[in-house]
Amino acid sequence: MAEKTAPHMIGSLRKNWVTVTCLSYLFISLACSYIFSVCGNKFFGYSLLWSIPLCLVIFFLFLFFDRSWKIDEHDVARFLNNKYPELEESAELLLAPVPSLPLLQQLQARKNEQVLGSIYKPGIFYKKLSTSLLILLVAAIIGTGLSMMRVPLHQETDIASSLVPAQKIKNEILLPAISSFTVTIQPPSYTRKPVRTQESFSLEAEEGATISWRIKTRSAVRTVQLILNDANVLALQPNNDHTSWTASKPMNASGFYQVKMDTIVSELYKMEMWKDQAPVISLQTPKANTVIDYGEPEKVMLNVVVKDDYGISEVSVAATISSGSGEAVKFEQQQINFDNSFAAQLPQYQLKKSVDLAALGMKPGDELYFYIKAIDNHRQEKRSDVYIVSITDTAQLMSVDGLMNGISVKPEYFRSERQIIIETEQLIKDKDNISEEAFRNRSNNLGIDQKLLRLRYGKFLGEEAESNEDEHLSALGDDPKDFGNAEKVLDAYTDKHDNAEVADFFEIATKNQLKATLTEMWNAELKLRTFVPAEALPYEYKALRLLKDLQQKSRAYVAKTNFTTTPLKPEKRLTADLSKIIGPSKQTNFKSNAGPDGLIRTALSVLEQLKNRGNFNSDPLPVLQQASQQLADKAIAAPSTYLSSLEALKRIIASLQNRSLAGLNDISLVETALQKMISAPVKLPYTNKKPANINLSKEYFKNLKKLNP
Amino acid sequence: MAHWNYIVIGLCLLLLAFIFRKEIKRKNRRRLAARLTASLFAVASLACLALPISITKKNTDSPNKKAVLLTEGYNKDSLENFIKTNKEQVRVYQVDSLAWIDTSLTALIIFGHGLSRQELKSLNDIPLIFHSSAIDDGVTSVHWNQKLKSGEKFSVQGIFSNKRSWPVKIALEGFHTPLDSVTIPAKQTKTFEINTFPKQIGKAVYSLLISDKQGALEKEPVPFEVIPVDTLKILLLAASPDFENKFLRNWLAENSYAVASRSRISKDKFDRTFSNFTSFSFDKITNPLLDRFDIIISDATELAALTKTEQAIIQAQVQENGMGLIVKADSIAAPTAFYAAPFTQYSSSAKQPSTAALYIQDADKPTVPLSSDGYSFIRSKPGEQPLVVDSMTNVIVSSKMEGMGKILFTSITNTYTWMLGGNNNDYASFWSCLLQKAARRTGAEQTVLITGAVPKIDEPIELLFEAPGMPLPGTFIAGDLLSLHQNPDLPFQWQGTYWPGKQGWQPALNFSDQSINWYVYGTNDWKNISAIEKTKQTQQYINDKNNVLNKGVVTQKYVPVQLPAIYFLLIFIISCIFLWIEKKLSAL
Repeated sequence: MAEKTAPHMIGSLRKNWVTVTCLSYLFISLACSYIFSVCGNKFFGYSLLWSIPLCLVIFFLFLFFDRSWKIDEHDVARFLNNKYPELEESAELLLAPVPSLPLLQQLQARKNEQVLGSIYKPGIFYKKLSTSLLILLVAAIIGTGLSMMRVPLHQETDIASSLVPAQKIKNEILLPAISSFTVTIQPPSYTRKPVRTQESFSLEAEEGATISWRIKTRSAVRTVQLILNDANVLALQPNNDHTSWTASKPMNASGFYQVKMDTIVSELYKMEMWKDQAPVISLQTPKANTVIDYGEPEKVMLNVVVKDDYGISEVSVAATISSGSGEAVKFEQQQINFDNSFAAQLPQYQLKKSVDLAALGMKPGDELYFYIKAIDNHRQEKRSDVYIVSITDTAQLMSVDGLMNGISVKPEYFRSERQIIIETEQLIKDKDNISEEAFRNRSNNLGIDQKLLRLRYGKFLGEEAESNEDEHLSALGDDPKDFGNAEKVLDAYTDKHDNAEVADFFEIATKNQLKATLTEMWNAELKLRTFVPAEALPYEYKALRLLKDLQQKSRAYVAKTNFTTTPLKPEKRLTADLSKIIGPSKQTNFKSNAGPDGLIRTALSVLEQLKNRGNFNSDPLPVLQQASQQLADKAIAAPSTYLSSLEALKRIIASLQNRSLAGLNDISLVETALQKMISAPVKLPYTNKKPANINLSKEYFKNLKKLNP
Repeated sequence: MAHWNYIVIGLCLLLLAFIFRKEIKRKNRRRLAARLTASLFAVASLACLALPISITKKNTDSPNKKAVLLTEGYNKDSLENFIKTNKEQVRVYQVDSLAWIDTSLTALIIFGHGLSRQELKSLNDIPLIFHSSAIDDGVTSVHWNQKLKSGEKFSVQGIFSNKRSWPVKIALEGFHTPLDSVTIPAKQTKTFEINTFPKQIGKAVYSLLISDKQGALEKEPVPFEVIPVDTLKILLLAASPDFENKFLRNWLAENSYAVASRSRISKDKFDRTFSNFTSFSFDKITNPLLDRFDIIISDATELAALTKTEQAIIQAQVQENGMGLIVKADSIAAPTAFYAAPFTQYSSSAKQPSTAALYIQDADKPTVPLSSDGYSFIRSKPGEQPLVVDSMTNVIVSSKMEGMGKILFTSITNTYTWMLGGNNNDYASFWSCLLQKAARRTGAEQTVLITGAVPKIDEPIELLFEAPGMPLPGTFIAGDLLSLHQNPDLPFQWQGTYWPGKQGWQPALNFSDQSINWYVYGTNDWKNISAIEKTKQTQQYINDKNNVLNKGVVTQKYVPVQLPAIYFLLIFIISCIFLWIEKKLSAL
């Protein structure tokens, strides 16, 4: 090695460097691509073969950014200078031809040549290589580990697919005479979709779309027809030389069709219709029944979301205001429009509207009925439920009409809610004329009245007197001897009678309303005692309204009706003579319970027989033909589910008629569809047969009877 | 040979007589007894030399008379181990060369799952030693109802033992649709039950798929037959028209049952309806009238209102002809009447919830709760079977045998509210339970029992026919005459053997008015089950044989062994030497 010249050594070092760098890049890119492709295969199901192009791409990316192939001798010399101080920063001298150098440099070059000879070994770059090899090894381990790992999701689908025969998307079989064809679907204008053309007969189209077929034949044929749903015929119009045929038809129902050329009929193609959906209205506010109490703002915030599959052209609120009561009730209809513009016909609108009830002319006691009406761009209208907003009529609550007649009025030693309201209103009116202290006194007194009333109603609910709790608690006492005395503690915290919650005669709904009333009274009392009677007023009104409601609930109304009795025949009365009365007798016959499902059930076992190539007790054809009619009905409704099985059933029937064997695939396809059509039968009673040894049992029974008569 | 024997014996006797005479006549009479004895021995041994004398001996040491038979599933290791430890050479037969096995073998050692009963019989009396291979992976036991009525639950039950360290899934598939499945955890042996309600009517073969993470392990056929229910004829009697009867009548009629109902609307005036029946008059209950019906459903009041004769007719029909009687309890029930006496009603003193779910016999889950107002409970007594109970096991419907028939007593009268609430399934399962329990048994059943758990193609199958009262000398199966022989003790049983040549559903066995379908499995179906059966049969066969041996019947062989002539020659020489020396001694 020492014999090698210095440039030669540097050259070989360069070659070494480049090779090692390229190799290490190759290893790293192999590692990366392996990991990526294993991940892709595991989680997304891509083929492992993708790793080859991926590896190449990564490798060339490395080369492109690194440019290792551009390393030249000077780079090597610089590297040597950095690495070996012995060369004294003068390795470049070795590259130049010695004679051309000045003397000093020649001397240095000679010296370097010897140094280089001593340090030269081709393995100085191998460290880089070993690092990349390590990376590759780690990647291989990780990748293998990943591929061993089972992805649960993937496995489930594996099992499912092993159980269910895969419904593969099959290629359509065309009639041999067709050279080319197109099916053009022009969606209706409301969908705002462009015209589309497809080259398969199976089609899916929007309701109202126009479908045009253009079929080119290899040679002239006499007629081309489309047989729709096995029933209707649509003839195609030929051009002059009878090789190009066209027809079009609006889409108005799902189903299937066949192409018939002269006498040859194609397989069944499905024709599925996408129906336009009506708009969907969801009202977020207000609630179905809103009551606006005295003092609340007389406004309703409408918050509506309207959706449609294509577009909405109009949304409005149809409102009806009812005012008055009894026979004097009046209705007034109004349409309230939203402020939004529906010109864009977007598929979804979020609408808000604040309805001012006073502006609509509503007075206390009136009710507003409204519903939202949405119309989509196919002019399909949808209405929401009816919502009710009512304003309470304080005047009516104050009326004492119902109480005036027939009730003996006893002196009331506590004020009624009505009275409290009147006095509160009076107090508010007098506020400016009386002194501050008198105002406060009166307000406080009203608060006390309110409290008395509340306690009185509270008794219905079994509530205790107010001071009760304190008494109980004081019973606990401070005597240290009683600490931990269970009896005393229990005494303090329990009531010694039945549970108050259930110890009365009211229904739960009534009790809840009573409780709500009491809450309102509480609030009113609070406001009165804090000397703000104006704020107490709404609570008082609400309490009064709830009390009135309670009164109404306990009443029953019976409408008057007219009824005329038949005249009696006194001579026949109480004779108990029934001789002329004939007992009624009725006879009904129901058809066999087998019904349509029964037929399918039998067809299933017939198919099973067919699979077994067994011999039949009876001719299987009629059963299968009837089943095929029912399957055809299903196929019209849902062609994508049942059409392929209908075709299969037709093939089976044809093969039976030709006395050839039916295909096993066809049979399983039909079986799957038929069993999907029906549900399991209901359990019905039946009689068991006697055992075969019945004579023996009979003898035994007879002898037993003789013994124990 | 016989002549030679006689000649030899005769000559020897002559010789003996001659020698005895000579000895006795000798002058020197010393040692006469010894001389005579010696002469006798000499002549006797001479005769023995001339005659072939043999004794029979236990045949213990006959080399090369053992053989090994390898049946399916044998363990290679244990076979090699056996051959290694066995010093002698043994022949090894495969199971298909059964016919060539030498019947004079002293022992046949069977490895594997064993042989079927028929194959064992062909081995005659060769003593058997059985080294069975254990079957402990996969389905080790399975059962399903091979014949069920429409609407009944189809359930496959069994035991699966899983040796793998990962779970195994067992799924039932019918008509290419997965119906139900269970998972057996890793390294466990568990019972499993897979249920479905079949949709077809008639024969079908479902399949049991056993799969693990590596894919399908087994696919076994599960053949069964669904039979349409035959309708019943029902008579409804009521003291007054009510909803309960109306709903029941309509429900039965819509399901094609023949119903005649009679509700009393005034004194001796009835409202009659006939559904799926031609109308007839039945103001009076008579025997010919009741012969038409399988079940009477009546309330206790109406039964009490019948005349004594009518009641007696009903009782006789129930007791002697097996008609069913369902009595709906009410407060006016006469406690001494035959239909009410066995049942004691009581009202529970405990506070009852206003609604109660009912538990119906054989139903999977309790019903939707029903208002429990106005029904009492029935005290359960020995001899009565509760059919419907509530959650506190208070009996609501009870049944009792009455002669050949049954009387059911029900205290519930508002089942129609299930129908009103849309719970038709609960209604159906309640009345199905009651009616089925009460129904008169009609027509004797004819059955064919097939021996063996999995009858397989190309194997003999024993068919056991059960048919009452008629001779069944033979029947035709697919054109082949199958001759049957009658069981001497049970005259309704007939037996025959058939070799099916085709797998799958067999042509129906037709006899009298019934046709019976049966299924023959392929050779590879349910391998585990048939292996277990074969193992059992082989074990049973060997046990039976051993029992016979222990009873003293000798089956081991005794062979004649010729005694070596040298002993007789020695006796002869010794005797002669004695006689010679004696002569010399006496001469001295």
